[in-house]
Amino acid sequence: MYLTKKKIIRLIEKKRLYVRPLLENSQINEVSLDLRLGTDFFVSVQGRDAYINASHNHSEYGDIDIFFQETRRRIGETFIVYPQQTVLASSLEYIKMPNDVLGIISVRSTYSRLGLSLTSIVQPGYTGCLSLELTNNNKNPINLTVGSCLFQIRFSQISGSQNYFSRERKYICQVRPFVPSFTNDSELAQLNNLWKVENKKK
Amino acid sequence: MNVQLLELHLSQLISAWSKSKLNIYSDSNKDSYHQQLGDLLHYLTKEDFSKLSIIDLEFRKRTIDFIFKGLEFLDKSTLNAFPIEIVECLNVALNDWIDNNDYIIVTSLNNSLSSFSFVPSLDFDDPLLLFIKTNYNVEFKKRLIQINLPKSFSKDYFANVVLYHELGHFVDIKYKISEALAKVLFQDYKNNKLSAQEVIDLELFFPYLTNPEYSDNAKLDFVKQHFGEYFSDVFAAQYIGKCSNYYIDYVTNSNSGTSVTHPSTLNRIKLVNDFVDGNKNSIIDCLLDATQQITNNRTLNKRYNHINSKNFLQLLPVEVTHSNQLSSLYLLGWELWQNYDLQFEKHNSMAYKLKASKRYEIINNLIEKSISNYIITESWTKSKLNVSN
Amino acid sequence: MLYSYSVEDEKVQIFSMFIENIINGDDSYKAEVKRVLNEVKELSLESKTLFSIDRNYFTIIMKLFESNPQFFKEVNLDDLKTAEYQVIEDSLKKNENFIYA
Repeated sequence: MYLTKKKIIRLIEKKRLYVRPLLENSQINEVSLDLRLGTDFFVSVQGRDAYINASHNHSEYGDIDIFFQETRRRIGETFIVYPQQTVLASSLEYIKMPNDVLGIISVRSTYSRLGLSLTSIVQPGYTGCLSLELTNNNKNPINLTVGSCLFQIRFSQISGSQNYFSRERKYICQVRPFVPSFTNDSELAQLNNLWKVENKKK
Repeated sequence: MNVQLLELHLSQLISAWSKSKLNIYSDSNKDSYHQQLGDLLHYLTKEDFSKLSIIDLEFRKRTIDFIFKGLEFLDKSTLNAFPIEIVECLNVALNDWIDNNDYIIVTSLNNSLSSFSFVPSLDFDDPLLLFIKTNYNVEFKKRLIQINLPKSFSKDYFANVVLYHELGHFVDIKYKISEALAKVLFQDYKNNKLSAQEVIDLELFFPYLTNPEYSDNAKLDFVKQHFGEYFSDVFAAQYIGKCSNYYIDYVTNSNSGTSVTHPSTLNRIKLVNDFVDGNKNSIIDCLLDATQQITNNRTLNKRYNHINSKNFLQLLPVEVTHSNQLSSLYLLGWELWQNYDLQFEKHNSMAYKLKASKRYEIINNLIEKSISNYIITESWTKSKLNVSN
Repeated sequence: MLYSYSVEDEKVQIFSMFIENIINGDDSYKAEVKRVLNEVKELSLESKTLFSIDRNYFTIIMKLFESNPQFFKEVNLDDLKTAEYQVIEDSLKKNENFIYA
């Protein structure tokens, strides 16, 4: 069940949902909240390594960081997303979700028609700016304005309450996008062990 | 002054200029400044150095150095990566002491871990600018000020408290506060014109005054240097309270020794504590009095407030409503860090204990976002006023 | 502080060059030089203090004052002779190695 405007406003008034800054109340729509493009970006660039290594199997390949370049803009400035480029961006707004509400993020239709795509969810209890992966599927570069309402979030009530901090979290109070890291991923470590055993590697 | 060497110098400048002349700056002030440097270079290239006197050649050499410095400052400006949040906080402090329209801030991230500094490209009313205006009719109304920060600490709001101290040096040099005060006090000390308490405090904070191994000239030099440090510490304390004490104490291992350039850490900490706590201290009284007289009634006083930590404990950025609250965020961060007792875990029902590195990240992020939200909200509100006008 | 030394030292050099120009018959900087010398005179006569003299030219004013306070007390700034400008220039060159750092 998606929350309506009235319920979204009530959540904010009761300080269960935080949106900082909420520059205009008109960002709250009938069944969604518009979110703005934030000021920080990671742009994918050609790295020195042959590929981005999302595995522990070939640890001679380095950090994923080398495939991304950080840049910032001020609100009102523009940022170009090139064809087929994936850019790590974030919302201007810092959000704190209620423990019993899930968020579903998508690109607003005005921008999705240009070929911009993104789908992501926000967990109940999440707190921070929303880290977003924007891809330009158009054949042309798209010049975006920092601070424009690029995204929207729909809120869905879940049954019961979830404690976001019931287990250790990598992402708390993020204020800019972040390049993923697989170095400390325990699942990949286990798969790596499995692979080593299967292939009799040390 | 060798004409050939001057022409070599000018050729080097022309080459440097050719790499920067197409630079575009989002800040129109930087653009204008850059344009003015180009105009000045253009006039220089039209001159025949072989026909000039030695004095005139000396002036040209310094003019070329000035253009080089300006280019260096503008070219190194890395605003895309430099945290504007820090610039905003320092700008607020700078505005308290220097007229807003007199300067353009440029920023630079450096590799050295100790590269915290405020550097003007030229002094505010340097006589060279009079020469440039008189000879070329190019008037530089603004000065470039470069803020330097180590790259590794660019998002570290604990370490960046040092920049308030550096700003203190900048203000001190502009107004020549510690230099004048050192001369006056030293003279009065030598001539027994100070009260008993003043003598006690002076000898405590400048212990070498009683050391017969040093000449008067050497003592005066030390006093000038050390007064500069004391002034900068008190200046910073206006905005960040005792925060810089925590950092200095740690970095110097509570050093009780005095060096040529710096007073002992213990004395520096004592002075800041006395200022913040309002304890009687003749050195502070002298600093306050001299500052007020010299700067036309600008005063050293506490310019921070204690912000309720509730927002941070709830993992939320603070809603800053006025620029004078910005520096208080640093205090909030430091106080939370120094007095930490699992507050984040308790307030957010965390089932595990946060690592110190995660806590460090959270506090830095919350400070940054609090400042950033203030900047954004202010810009948004101003732009709406512009539209409605 | 290295910055402080180099910037102040340069200012003294440039001011010295202004005086050299005046001695050579160029009056372009005469008004500015007179303004600074006036500060030195006022300091000598105790009508100004170290806290109230011009901050930008502080180093130059102090250098001149300390080298020859009696001269500045007595000199007529409205009618400076070439020889007097020479005395002033020589005062600036005295103690060139004094250190701020």
